[in-house]
Amino acid sequence: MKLRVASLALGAVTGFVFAWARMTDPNTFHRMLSLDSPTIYLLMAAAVGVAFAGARLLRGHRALLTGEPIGWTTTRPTRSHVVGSVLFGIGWGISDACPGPIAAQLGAGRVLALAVASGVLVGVRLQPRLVRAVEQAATRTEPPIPAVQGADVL
Amino acid sequence: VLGIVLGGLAFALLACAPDAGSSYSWLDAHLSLGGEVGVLFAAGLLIGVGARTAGGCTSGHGLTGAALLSPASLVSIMTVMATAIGTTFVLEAVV
Repeated sequence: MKLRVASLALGAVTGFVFAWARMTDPNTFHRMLSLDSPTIYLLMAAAVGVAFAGARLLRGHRALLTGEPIGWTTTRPTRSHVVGSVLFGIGWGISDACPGPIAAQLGAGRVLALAVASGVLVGVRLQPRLVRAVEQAATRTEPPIPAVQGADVL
Repeated sequence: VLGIVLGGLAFALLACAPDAGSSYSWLDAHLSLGGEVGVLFAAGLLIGVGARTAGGCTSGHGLTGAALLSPASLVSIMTVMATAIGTTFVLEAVV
């Protein structure tokens, strides 16, 4: 319960910042992806910098609410990372939105974000079936594209 | 996710500038409303399938994964960026 309240609060802060940074406006991403504005790149760099330092400071400590030790393992890139990222990139380029900001757009009252959001939800549901279909269609020499297990979709 | 929706709502209320209405992006001028809904839904499908296949999205791979220097995340976010920028330029050239 405490964890849920904390998640909700952190999510609210995130959504607030997304809206503040104008990430609820697809045109912001369009200016980023057409290389007209460096704002979002700088924002991402700043976020990665803070997370880089923060994660290393917290490593080995225990999480505040769950008491679990904080640590991580990294994975080697696989074919599914590349294939998935290409699909994701095309979707992002068309919609000028990605999952986090889509949620903030919904809160900010952008009606057409509903179309993107329902697409994302259907896509996430459909993905395992698509993988099976691709596996069946693929020849034996071609390895299938499994989803990365246990990974967070957002 | 609900928190992010609420946060977006909170800012919209505070800034007194809700993004309500049927406007979405620069594509508005080039598509009918129905066409735009279809295009955006299809884009959403790609995002959903892609994010699950790659095991993360812009924030998962690009922010968290990059900060942890995960090789898979670095490859993923580079691929996403390159594809998204490429798609944008192709769209602008075609539309």
